[in-house]
Amino acid sequence: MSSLKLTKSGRVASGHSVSESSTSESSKGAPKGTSTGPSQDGFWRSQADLDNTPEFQEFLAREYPEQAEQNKDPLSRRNFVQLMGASFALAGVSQACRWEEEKIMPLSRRPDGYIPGVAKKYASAFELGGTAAGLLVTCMDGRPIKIEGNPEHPFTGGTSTAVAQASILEMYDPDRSRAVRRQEKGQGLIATRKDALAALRALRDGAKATRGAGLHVLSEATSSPTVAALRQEIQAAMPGVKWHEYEALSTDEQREGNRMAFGAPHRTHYRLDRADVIATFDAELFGNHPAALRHSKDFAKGRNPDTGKQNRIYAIESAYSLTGAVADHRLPVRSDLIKPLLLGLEQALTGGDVASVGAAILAEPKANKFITELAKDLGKNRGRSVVAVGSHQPAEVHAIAARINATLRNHNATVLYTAEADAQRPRHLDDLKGLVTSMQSGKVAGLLIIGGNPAYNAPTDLDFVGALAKVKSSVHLSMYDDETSKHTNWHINRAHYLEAWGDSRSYDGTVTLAQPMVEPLYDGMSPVGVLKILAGHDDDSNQDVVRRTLLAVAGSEATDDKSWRRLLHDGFIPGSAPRPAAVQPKQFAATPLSDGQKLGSSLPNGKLEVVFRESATYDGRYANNSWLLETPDFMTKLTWDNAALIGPATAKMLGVSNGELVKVTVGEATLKIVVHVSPGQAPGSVALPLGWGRSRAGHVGGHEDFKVAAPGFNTYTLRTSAGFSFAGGATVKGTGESYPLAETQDHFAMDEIGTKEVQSRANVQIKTGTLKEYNDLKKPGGKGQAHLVTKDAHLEIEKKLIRPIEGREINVSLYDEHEYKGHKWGMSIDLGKCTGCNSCSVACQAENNIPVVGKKEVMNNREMHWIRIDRYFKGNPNNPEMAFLPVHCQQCEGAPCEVVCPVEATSHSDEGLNDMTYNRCVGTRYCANNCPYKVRRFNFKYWNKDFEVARNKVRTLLSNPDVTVRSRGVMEKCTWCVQRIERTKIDAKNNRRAIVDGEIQTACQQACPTQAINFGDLQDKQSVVYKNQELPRAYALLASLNNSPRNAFLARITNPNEALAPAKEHKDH
Amino acid sequence: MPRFQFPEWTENFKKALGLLLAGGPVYLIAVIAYGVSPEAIRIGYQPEQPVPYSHALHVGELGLDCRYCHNTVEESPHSAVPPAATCMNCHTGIHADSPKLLPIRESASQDVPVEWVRVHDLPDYVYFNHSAHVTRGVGCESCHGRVDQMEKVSQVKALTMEWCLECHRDPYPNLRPIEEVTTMGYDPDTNRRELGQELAKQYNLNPRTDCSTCHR
Repeated sequence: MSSLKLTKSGRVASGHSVSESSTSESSKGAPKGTSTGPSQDGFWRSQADLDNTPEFQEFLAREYPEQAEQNKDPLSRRNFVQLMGASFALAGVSQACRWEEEKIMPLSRRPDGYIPGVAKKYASAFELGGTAAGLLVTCMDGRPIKIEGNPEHPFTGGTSTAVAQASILEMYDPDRSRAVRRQEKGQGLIATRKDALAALRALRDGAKATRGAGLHVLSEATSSPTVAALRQEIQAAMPGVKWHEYEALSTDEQREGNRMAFGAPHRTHYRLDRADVIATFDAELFGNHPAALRHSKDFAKGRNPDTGKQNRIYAIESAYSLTGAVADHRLPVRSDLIKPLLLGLEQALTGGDVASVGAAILAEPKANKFITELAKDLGKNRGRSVVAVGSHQPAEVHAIAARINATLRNHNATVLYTAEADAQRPRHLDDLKGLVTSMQSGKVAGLLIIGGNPAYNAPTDLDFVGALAKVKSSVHLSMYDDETSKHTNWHINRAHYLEAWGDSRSYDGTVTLAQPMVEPLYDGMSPVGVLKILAGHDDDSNQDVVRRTLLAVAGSEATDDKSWRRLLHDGFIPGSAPRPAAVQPKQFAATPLSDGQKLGSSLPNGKLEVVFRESATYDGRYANNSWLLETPDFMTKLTWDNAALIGPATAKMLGVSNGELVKVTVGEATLKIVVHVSPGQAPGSVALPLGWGRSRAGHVGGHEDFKVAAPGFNTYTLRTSAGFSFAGGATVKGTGESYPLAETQDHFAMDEIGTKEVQSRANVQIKTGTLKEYNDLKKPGGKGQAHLVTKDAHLEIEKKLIRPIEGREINVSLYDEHEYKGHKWGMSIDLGKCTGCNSCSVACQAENNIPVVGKKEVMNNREMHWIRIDRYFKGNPNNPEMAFLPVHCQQCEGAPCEVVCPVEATSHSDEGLNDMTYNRCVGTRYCANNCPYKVRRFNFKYWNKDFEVARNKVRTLLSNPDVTVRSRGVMEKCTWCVQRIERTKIDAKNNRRAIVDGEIQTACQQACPTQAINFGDLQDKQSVVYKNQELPRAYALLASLNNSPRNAFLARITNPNEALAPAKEHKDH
Repeated sequence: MPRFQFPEWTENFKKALGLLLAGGPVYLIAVIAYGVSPEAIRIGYQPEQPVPYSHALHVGELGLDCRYCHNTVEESPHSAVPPAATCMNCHTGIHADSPKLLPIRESASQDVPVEWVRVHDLPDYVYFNHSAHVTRGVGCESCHGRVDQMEKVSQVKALTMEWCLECHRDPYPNLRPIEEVTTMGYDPDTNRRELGQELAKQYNLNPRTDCSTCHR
């Protein structure tokens, strides 16, 4: 009792001596708890009573709460009084036992329209490699937490790529540069924003004296109208200013190819929805192609076998691309050989002699047959076909493809061209070369580098760092204090695109606006902010500069507030995309084949080709993005590393095995890199993913200052300007050392028994069939094949528990059938549309606060992704067929996980979902053991422990407040975004309206570029998901287990060319 | 060594000893369990607030509706504590110099929040949504008690899961017409259960008891 602070007298007041101010008898009357204190004449019982301290008042209030009256507990007043003595004592204990005091801190003035706890969405733009995707960013309590596509954007629509989803992590990255830095005598010193502005002004004023000569700007690719306008102003005022653009992954060869073919560097557009036959030559149409979202959507339009027809894709490439993964026919050849093959195709199409090309590859039976049949198929589909060439290929090859498309009358039908705004710009590589030459000769007095990281990703023969030393004053605007910022005089921290005003154009040319969701966290500057200084608009706000430009583009007055608000709302300017240009094919002759191109698929003298390609980090800029590093590569299922991809036959020839370190030598440079033996990699070709092994990325991506080893291997060290996309004459020598690789899926079984086992199981898990088989199945009396669904397989999805057995109706299950009175949530995943792009996985990670575990734990199979994409191979390892199966919680009606939980932390909801209650879970892990799909994830450690470090606390701002952040020892799994379901349900009911089909979108569904995932209410017979589940090709995963899952997979139907089938079963090689 | 002789009077004591040894711990555990149970700890929690805002005065006497200040309650999961600007709507003129309102004026002028102490606190893993309840006919006082009589806000209900489930399983006695949601001391003439059943039909209410209703 002495611990009490309540009564000074220490006396326990009994229930009967009630202070006159406390009127527990009546429910109305004087307010509770305020004791005016007895008058001097009245009786008082304790010093505290007389003093009438606040504590005493509180004591009184708690002592005699009317609440006890209203408390309808069985605890009667008498009991209460009896226990009160003890509870009084325990009041002291309960003071200590009560939870921590929590504060509520409202804004002092709430902005108009801001409702705490309700998300708001704003339009923005995500620019990568110069093209934009329209976004709708979800902001909660004033900060962005999730990125979605803008469904109203005419080109990119409502879906998003994996990289766009992960880009939000960059904004909250603790390793982001937080300050301006300047170099002085080899030391980096923190400077202020004012210092940075002064430096920029000095750059500008210094250049004014020479009318701009000596001032160079090196920018990453951008299609921003505002930047273009500012550039025009700068170059008008100072004509000597030189502008350069460089991207490590450039699509410029297409430009130059079209310049060869048409005389102007047009941009090529494909209308895949109008194409029945699509032939890609080393081309990646999905993934990070600037028009990937549109291509995915259009490709999916042609992938509805239920209409009886389907498009057909032929892929000829060196390394597996997403396009090749979904292709009906694939031919793996070295990137070098694409040109002779394309020329051979042209010959076949124009009735010429394929052999006249003079390339040995065309004499090889497989390639010859492929090209011949492809030509026949294309010939049958003139005006409804596409021949696409990838950005790896030199300009000439693009020109040949343009010629072929013209022959096929695809122009203005499936292949369209638009004029490029900046037709004078040289290709990126040449631009950089020109700049470096100027730098080396000392002609560059001032260099402003906007974004990019040329010190890291410029070709090695240019020696950008050495040239940088010769520049008098260099400024780098960058998100991170990276390799380039180390060598420039000034480093200005850059505002993230979600923090800044800006704009861009999507691939088709639609002007897309980027508006800030939040004030820059670290007072960063944006490219618009920096360039406006050079242009002399120091006092204009970024918003005004962008507004002026965009309203001009839209054709409105700069003072037109209504138009501006419309633009802010929409996020794009409708009708701003240029119309297709009329093209006049020019005559040009292809250069003669090189010696290497004349050879066949096997190279002599152990010389190999290396192909540089993008990776999870894109070109290295996302090296510190842990979400992207941990997302398994679609093909290799590698995380936290890049590897040299070598085909099985080539690996055998070289004598290297999976996980072995090898020395790759290209020209004079050698790199030690780990090998990943990849099925389907072209013989004689080694794929080298770029963008790893950085020296100044951060705590995740490697940093020399913090002594953090960089994951992966820096393949840029092998890249020269001569071998920019691919290079020949490389050698690979095994070292015998092994390197641990964190793969989330077992490496493709190389021995026969293993292969047979995987394939037999794969046929059960992933059902595929050809279009012909499917059409036959649907005919009356059609019978299914073993590997394809049977006609009534969709009934297995909802297995009837009461079945007729031997003439009697028997309930085959222990449990009663579930009756759905309200909603009945269901999902369908169309395997024919899934390209394996991983957008769903990253979107899920962003939406559900899924932690990152790191390389070591991935090797322990502890990765936490709620949706994983299983990859299946079929056939010859040197050219297998590939299929993807995205697996998440199937929300089984008869879930094996629910019945084994000892604490009922997982239960089945009335609406068909399997609920996971984190606070109840004790970590038995029996449920994960029982799950046949292995979709449950256990938090073996407190993965988010790092967030508690003060420096990393900013990362917690990204968490979705609607989803619990799980701690150690708790099981988690996909919930079908139950937080979104509940929010929509509550919202709909609040407003007394029904939920429309398609209103609730799970994160994975919303992100999927092909819209392969569909979620909805199965009670609604008109819903897409219901119709999908009724299709003949719908099946449940592992249906024989009687789980009755709520999710249905739609079997993957391919459309192979009869003449080439079985195209994948190759005996040679 | 002779056995120790206990005094006579301990004979009675011996009889009670068994009972004490068995019952004592049980009693202690029961009392402590009750003492730290939500019913004892939470009910009656009445923390000191930075500003002595009296609901009894503003709501009880002056007749402000709950939603004048807690205006997000019909749209948001939170019934947000109002910003200082809401207070200043009146208090720029009324009691404009009162020392009790100093934190409010400071907040409004210096743009810093008033640090209110949270009274009704649910664990972080519980996602309670006010709008779902307020728009369906659950009165403010059903969970928060007679706020219009509180000089200082105190918690009157346990707000435990058991307590919530009680109503979710049998909501009828606790329902009232939407218009009466903010009425304090609501007492309809009709049988509350029958009225509730009518309202449940009218508003199409199906309170769920699945885990994902509150735990996500």
